[in-house]
Amino acid sequence: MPSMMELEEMISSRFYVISNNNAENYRGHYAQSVGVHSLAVYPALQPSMPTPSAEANKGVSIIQHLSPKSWLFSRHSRQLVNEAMGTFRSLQGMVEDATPREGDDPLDLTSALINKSREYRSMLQACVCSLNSDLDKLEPDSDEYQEMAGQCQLLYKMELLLGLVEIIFVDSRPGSLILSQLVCWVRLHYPACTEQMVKIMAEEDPSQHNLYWQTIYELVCQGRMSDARQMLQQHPYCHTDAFVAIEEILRKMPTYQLYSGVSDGEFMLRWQHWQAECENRLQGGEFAAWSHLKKLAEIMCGNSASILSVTMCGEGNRNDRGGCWVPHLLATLLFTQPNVKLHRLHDAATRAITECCVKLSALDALLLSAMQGDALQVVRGCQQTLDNLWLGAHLTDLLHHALASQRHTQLSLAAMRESIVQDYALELAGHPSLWQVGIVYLDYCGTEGVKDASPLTSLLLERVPLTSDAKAHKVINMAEQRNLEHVVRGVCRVMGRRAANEGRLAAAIWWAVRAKDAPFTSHTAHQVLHRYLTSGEFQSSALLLDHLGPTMLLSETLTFLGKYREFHSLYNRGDRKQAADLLVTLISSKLAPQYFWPVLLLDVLPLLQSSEDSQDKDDEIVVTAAHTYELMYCLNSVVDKFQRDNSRDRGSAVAMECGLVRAFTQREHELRTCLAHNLARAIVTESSSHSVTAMSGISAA
Amino acid sequence: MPNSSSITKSYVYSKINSVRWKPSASTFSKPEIFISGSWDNEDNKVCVWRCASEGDPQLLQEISHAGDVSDITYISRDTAAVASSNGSVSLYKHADDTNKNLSLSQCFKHAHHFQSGSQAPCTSVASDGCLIATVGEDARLLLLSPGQHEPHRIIDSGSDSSEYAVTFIKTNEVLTGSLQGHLRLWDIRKAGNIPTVTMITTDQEWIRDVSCHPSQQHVVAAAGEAGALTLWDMRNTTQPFTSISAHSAPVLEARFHRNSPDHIFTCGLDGQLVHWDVSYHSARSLLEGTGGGGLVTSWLHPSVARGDVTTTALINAGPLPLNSVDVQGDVAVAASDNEALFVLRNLVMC
Repeated sequence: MPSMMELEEMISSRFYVISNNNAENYRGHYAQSVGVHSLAVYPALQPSMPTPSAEANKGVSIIQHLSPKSWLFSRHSRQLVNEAMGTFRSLQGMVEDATPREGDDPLDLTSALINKSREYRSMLQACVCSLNSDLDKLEPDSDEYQEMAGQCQLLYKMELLLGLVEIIFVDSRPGSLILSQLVCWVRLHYPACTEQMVKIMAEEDPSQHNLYWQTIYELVCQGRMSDARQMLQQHPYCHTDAFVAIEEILRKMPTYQLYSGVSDGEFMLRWQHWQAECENRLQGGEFAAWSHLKKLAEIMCGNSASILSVTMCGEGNRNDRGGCWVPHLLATLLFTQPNVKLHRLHDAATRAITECCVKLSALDALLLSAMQGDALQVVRGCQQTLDNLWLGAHLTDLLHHALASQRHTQLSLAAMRESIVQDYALELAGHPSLWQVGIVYLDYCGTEGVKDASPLTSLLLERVPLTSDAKAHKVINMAEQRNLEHVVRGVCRVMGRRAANEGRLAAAIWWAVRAKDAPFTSHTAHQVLHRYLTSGEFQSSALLLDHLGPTMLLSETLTFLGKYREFHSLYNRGDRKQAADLLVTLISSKLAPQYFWPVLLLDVLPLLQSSEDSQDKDDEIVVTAAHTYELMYCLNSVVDKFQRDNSRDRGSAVAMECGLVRAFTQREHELRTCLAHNLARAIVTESSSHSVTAMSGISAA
Repeated sequence: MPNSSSITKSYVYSKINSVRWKPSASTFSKPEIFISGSWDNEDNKVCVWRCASEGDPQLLQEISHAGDVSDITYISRDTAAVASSNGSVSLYKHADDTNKNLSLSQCFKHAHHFQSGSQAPCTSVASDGCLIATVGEDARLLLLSPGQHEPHRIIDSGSDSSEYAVTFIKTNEVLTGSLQGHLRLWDIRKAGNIPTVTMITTDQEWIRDVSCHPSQQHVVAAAGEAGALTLWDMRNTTQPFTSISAHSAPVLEARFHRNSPDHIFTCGLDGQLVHWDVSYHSARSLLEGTGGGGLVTSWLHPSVARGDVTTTALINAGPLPLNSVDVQGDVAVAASDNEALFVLRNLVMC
C-alpha cells in the first residue's frame, strides 16, 4: 500500500521543465500538472524578451492546457461508464456474500460471474447499436463519422475478447472440451453468412445468386449444418443422388454435447466413422459431377486448402473484423480436431494464423494470450493497447474472482486488480462530471477485508471544485457515507470562509459550526459583534442567533453572542430583572470581549433609569448593589482604557469614535450618575429588607 | 399485463438535476412530454423528451444552457422557467413538440447575486401561473413577471444564509426554506421585508424542498437534511405536525401528487425514490363517517402523527443521488447522478 504522501504526490501539482537545446534564444517550456489528469504548459521567460502581457500576446493565451482525450468520455461511451458501475458493484456485493464464513464451504460463483460477464458484453453491444444508429445520420466522409466508426470497431473487438475470456477463464467446463463454446462464440461475432443466407433465400431463385455456394461453404465452416441443408434444398437438382448423399453427410455429422451421456472417446469414434464415410464417398467419385459438392465434401474431410479458400474470401471476413483467422481456426478444428482441449488451442491458433498469412494485430495478440490461458498477459495487453482502462479494470476484476481458487495466479492478479481499478477510478475522478463514479470505484480497490475508504478517496473529494451549496452537500454526503470526518469539516470550512468573504456572516457561522471549527466560529462571531458596534443591529444574523441551541457552546464568543441575543429578547419581553442579571453575568464572567463592554454598559442604562422612574415601588430593584459594584468597576476600566489609548495614539481614538462607542463616551457621565443613584437605592432597599428579615428573626426568637 | 407497474432505465449522457412533466391539455390525457435540465457537465443542456406508453423516452430537442440547472417549473402550458447556478433565470418556450421549436424566450441575467456583485446560484423557482418566485444563495426572494426585464419585486429576507426552496401557497403567499432549516411565509402584497410567519425546527438542518397540498393549502411538506419528511399544519406554526424518516440520506425533492394528494413522492441523496401513501386513512374515515368526510385531509390524521404512513421505495439507484422526481397521472419520471433517467409506469394509486 503506498503511503499517504505518495498518494498525495500522485495527484498534486508537479512541475516539469521541457528543455530544448536546438534553438538559440529558446529556453524551453515549463509544464505543471493540474488536477489529476491535465497539464498546463507555458513558455519559459526569456531574458531578451519583455515580460509577456495581455497586450503583447494580443489576447492569445500562452498557457496551454493538455489533458488526455479518451473515447470513453464521448457522448456514447459514457453510458458504458455509468452502466458498468452498477454491474461492478453488484458483482462485488455477490463476491462478498459468497465469501465463506468459518466452517462453510466456499460458494460457487461461476454462474454469477458468467451473468456479469454477459452484462458487460450486452452493454458493449448496446453501445455499438446506439453508435450505429447515429452513424446513419452522419456524412460518411466527415471526421466525426470516421471517429465513431473507429469506436464501433474498437467496442466490437472488446466484446470479442470478453467473449473469449468468458469461455476460457470464467465458464470453463469439465473435461475442457471447448469446441461447442467456440462455435457459439464465432457464430455470434461473424454473423455475415447468416445475414447473407437470409438475403439469398428471399430471392426468387436462390441457386442463381452468385454467392449461393460461397454462403453454403461458410455456413458449413461455422458448423451450421441444418442451415446449409436448407439452402441446398433450394437447388433445382436437389433430388439427384449426389445432393442426397451430401445432405445425408451433413445430417449425420455428430456434435459433442456435454452431459449427453456420450463419453469423449465414444464421440471421437463416431466422428471418425462419419469422416471416413465422407472420405469414402469423395474417393468413390460420388460428387465428381458437381465441383461445388466436391468442395463441400473436401471441407468436411478437413482438407485445409479448401477450408482456407473459403475462409480467406468470406464475405464477412473481407473487411478486417479481427482478421479471418478466427473463422479459419474454427473450421479447421471442426473438421480435423473436434475434441480439441484448451491446452492445444494455442498451437492450433498459431497454425491458423500462419496459414492465413495475417499480420498479427494487438487484438490478435490478446486473443492468442487468452487461448494460451495466460490471464496476466491478457490484462497486461489490455492495459497497453487501449487508451483507457474500462475493459482493463472490469476484465481484471472478473478474472480475479474467476481464478480465485488458483493459487499461483491469485497473488499477482489481486495486486494488478487493485492497481488497475484504482487507475480507472482516478481516470474517472479527473473528469469534471464523472467524479462520483470514480469515487464509487475507489471504494472497492482497497485491500480485501479492509472496510476503510481508500486514502485516495479523501484526497479526491477534497479536490472537487465546490461551485454551489448543492454540490457541497453532495460532497459532504459522500464523505459522511465513508466516515471521512476530516473531509466533511474541510468542505464546511471552505464554504464558511467563502460566505465570510462575501460578508454573509450568518451563513459563515452555520458552516463554521458544522465544521466544528472553534477558532473560525469565534472569528466570525467577533465580526458580528463589530458590525453591531457600528450599526447597533444584528441584521442578518438575528434569526440564526435566536435558535442556536447547544451549538453555541462551540466557542466562547458564540456563546456570548447567543446569550447577548437572549438578553435582547428578555428585555423586549419586559423581563427586566432577568435581563439585568444576565447582562451583569455576561460582564462579570469575562465572557464578553472587552471592546464590547461599552455596549453592555449602554444597555444597562435604560434598566437603571426605569427603576429610578418607578420610585414608588421600593422592592423593584433591577440591579442589585453587588451587581452595581461590578458595573462601576467595569465602567472605570473601560474609561481607563480609553484614556490610555488616547494618550498613546490619537489615531486609534478617532477610530474608536464610531457608532455605539461614541454614544458611550457621550453618555458616560449620565451612566455614572445613574449607577450612583442605583447603588444608593439598592443599599437602602437591601439593608431594609435585610433588617426586616433580621427583625423577624429576633421576634421569632 | 397492461396493469402491472414497470420501470425503464435509460442512460442519457449527462447528469440530470431536474425533471418536470409538461402540463397536459386535459386532466385525463396521458402524460407525454417532459423537460429535463442537466448539471455539472462541461456543457449543460435543457432537453425535451417524449415518453410513449412503453419503451425508453425519446429525445425530441435540446438547447444549451449556461450554468448548472438547479430547478425547473412550468409557468404556463408551454413555457418553463429554469433556475441556473450562475444566478440567472431563463424562460424556455416550446409550444408544439412536433417541430423543433424549443427556444429561449427571456432571460433574467444575474438576477441573484451577492453584495459584492459576484453571481449567487439560484436554487429554486416556483410559479403561480403569472408570477415567478425564485430564491438563491444570496438569501433574496425575487418575484419576476414574464415580459418585464426588471424584477417585479425583491424581498431581502433579512438573513444572509442561502435560501433553498420556494413555493406558492396562495396567489399572495410564498413559502421559503433555508440553509438554517427555517420556513418563512411571505405575503407578497405587503410592503417591507418581514415574513408573516417563521417556522423553526430545532436542529438547524437545511431544507431543500417545500411542497404544498394541491387543494388544502394549510398542509405543507418540507424535506431536507435529516432524510425525513416534515409535515406542517400552517394553522399551528409553533411546531411541525409530524416528522417521519424514510431516507437514509438528505432528501432533495418532495412532491404531492397533483390529482391524488394522498400521495407524496420524495427522492434523495441515498438514490431512493420513496412513495408515501395515506390513502388508507382517507378511505377509512370515509367509511366510518368520522373526521367530517373528505374535509379533513388524511395527512393531518392523528395516526399519521404517530408515523402510520405506508412508504415504499420504488427505485433504489444508490449509491449515487436521485436528484429529481415528478409524477403526473400514474407515470413518474426520475433522474439520477448515474446519468440515468427512470420512467415508472402504471403506479398503483387510489
